[in-house]
Amino acid sequence: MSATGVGACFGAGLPPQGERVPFEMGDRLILWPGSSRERAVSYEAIRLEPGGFDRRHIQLRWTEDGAPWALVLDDTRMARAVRADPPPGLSGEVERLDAGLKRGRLVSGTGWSLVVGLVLLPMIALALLWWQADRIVGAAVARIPVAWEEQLGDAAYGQLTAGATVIETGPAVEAVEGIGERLAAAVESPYTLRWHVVDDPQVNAFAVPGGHVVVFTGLIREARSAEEVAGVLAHEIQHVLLRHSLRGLVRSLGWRAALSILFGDTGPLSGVGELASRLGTLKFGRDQETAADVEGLALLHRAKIDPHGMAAFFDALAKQEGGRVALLSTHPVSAERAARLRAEIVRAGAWPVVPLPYAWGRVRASIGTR
Amino acid sequence: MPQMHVIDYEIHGGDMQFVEIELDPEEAAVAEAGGMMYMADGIEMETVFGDGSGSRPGFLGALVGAGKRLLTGESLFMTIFVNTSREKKRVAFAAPYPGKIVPMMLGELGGTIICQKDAFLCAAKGVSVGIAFQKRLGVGLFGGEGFIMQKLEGDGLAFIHAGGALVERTLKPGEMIRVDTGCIVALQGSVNFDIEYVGKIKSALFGGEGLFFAVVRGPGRVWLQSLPLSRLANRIYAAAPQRGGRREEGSILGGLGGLLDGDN
Repeated sequence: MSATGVGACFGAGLPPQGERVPFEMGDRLILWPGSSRERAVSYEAIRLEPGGFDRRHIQLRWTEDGAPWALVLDDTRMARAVRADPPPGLSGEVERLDAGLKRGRLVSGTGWSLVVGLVLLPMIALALLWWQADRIVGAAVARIPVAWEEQLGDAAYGQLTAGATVIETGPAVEAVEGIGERLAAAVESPYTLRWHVVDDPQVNAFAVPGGHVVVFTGLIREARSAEEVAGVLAHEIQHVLLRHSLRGLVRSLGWRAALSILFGDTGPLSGVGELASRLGTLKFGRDQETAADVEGLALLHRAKIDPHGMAAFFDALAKQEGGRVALLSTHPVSAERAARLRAEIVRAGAWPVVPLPYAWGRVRASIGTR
Repeated sequence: MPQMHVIDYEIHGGDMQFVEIELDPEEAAVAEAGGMMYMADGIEMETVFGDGSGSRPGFLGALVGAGKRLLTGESLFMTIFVNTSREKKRVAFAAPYPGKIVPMMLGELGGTIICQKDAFLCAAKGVSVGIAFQKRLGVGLFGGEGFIMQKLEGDGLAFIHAGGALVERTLKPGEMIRVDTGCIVALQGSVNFDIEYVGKIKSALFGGEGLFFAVVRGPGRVWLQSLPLSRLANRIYAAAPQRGGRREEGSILGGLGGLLDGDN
C-alpha cells in the first residue's frame, strides 16, 4: 500500500516554522521538501510521537546527518488514517504510539472521574442526608435525655414569656391547670407538665419541650366551653410527648452543621440561648400536626373528655381563618382538620364522658375583654 | 487565500503599543470587543455573536463559537470593522497593558496558532478564534494558564499581545524548553505542550516558582513573554495601600510625610 498526503516538515535547510510538503508512504517514506529535492527515509529510523497542543497530531521524527528532522501530520484525519492502516515498516511504532496514548487516556480518564467525584461528593452526601433525614433525626432525638430537654425548655419558656404578662391566679388559671391535670393523669409521661396562662389577645397556645404549655387569654376568650380548651391542650401535650420541637431543633441544627461542614462557614452556630428562642418560632410540619391531633383525641378518650369540643373549636377557627388567629398560620387548614377529627371521632365511637366542672362563662369573664 | 483579507499594518509605541491597520475598500478586521482605539471615517463597526469567521455557518454554529469563547473568559461578542468607503482607511487597536504586539502571518506558520487566553488582539476577517483545551489531567489541574487556550486558525494576519518583553524561540524537532506556565504567549500548532512536576519540594516551597512548569517541545516556534499580566497585577495588588502596602518608598515620617510632601 502507499498513502500520500501533505504534512509540515521541519529540518536542516528548511524554514524554521516548517514547510508544507507532500509525502508518500510506500516501502519508505518519501518526501519532497524545498523545490525538488526528493528525500527517502527508511522506516527503521523513524520514531512516532504524539504532537501538537492537544496531542492529536502525529510526529514522525528521525535524524539525518546529525540534524533532527520531523514530519508533522497535523491533519487529524490523516493522522487517524495512518494509525489505522500503517505501512508495514511502521506498524511496530504505531502500536507503541497507540499504547502510549491509550495509557494516557486511561490515566486522564480515571483522574478526571476522581476530580468530578470529589466535586460531587458533598452533593451526594447531602442528598443522602436529605433522604434519610427522618431516620437520622429520630435516632439523634432518642439519645437526648429528658433532663436536658427540660433544661432547654425552661430556658426557652423564660425567654418566650420574658416580655409577656403571665397570669398567676384567678379562675382562668385554675381552669387551665385543672383541665391540664386531668389530661396529665391520663398519660404516662417522663415530663412534669406545667400550665401557664399568658395575657395576649392572640388565639394561640403552644408547647415548649420539657413540658411547659402556654395558653393565651385570646384562646380562652374564643373558646365556648372547657372541652374546647381541653382539645387544644391535648393537642399541645402531644407535641411535647412526641418531642416534635426537639425533632425540629435537631433537624435544623443538623442541617446547619452539615451545610457548614460541606460548604464552609455559613455563619457562626448560635449559642444555646438563641437556640432556645428559636424554639418558639419553630414550625411543626403537617405530619406532626396530624399526629398530635390523632394522639390528642386518644388522650381525650382516656381522660373521658367529650371530643366534640376539639372539633367544634377547629370549626370555629376555620370560620374566621385569615383573621388574627396565630394558631392557624402554622397549622394545617382548620376546616380540613375539623373534618378529619370528626371522622376519627365517628370511628372511635362514643365513649363515657365525665363533664369538666367549669362554668366557662365565669372563666371568660374573669380575664376581661380586650 | 480564498476568504482571508490581506492587511497592511504599522505598530506604534515602545512599551505601550498599538497597531494601526490599513483596510482597503471592503476589507475587514475582527477584534476582541473593547480593543479599538480609533477608526477613520468610513469604517463601519459591527458586533457579531461568536468569532465572525463564518467557518461554522448558521445560528447554531455561532452559538457554539460563542459558548467556547465564554469558556475562555472572553466576551461573547466580537467586533468587525469594515471599510465601507472607496479609499484606504485606518483603524487602530491598543494593547491593554504594557508589552509588545506581535504580528503573525498564520499562513506561514502552518495555519494554526495556540495562544494565551487574553493574548489575542485583532486579526484579518476570516481568521477563526476558537479554543483549545487540554484533556490531560496533569495539565488540567496544574497547567495554570495552559489548560484552556485560544486557537487561531486561518491563513491571514493576526495580532497577539504579550506582556513585558517578548522572545521568540524556534525549536528544532525534539528540542525542549521549560517555561513558567504564565509566560507562554503563543505556540505554533506543531509544538507539543505538557506539564512537568518540578520534583523538589524545597524549591517549590522556598524557590518562589510554581510546583509545575510547562514543557514545550519542538518542532515549531514559541513566543514567550517576560511579564504575564497576573504577575504584574499581583505586585500592584500587594503594594496597594488598601492591602497594607506602602505608598511611599520608605519615609520615616510615615503618614506625616504623606501630608507634607504635597502631592496628595
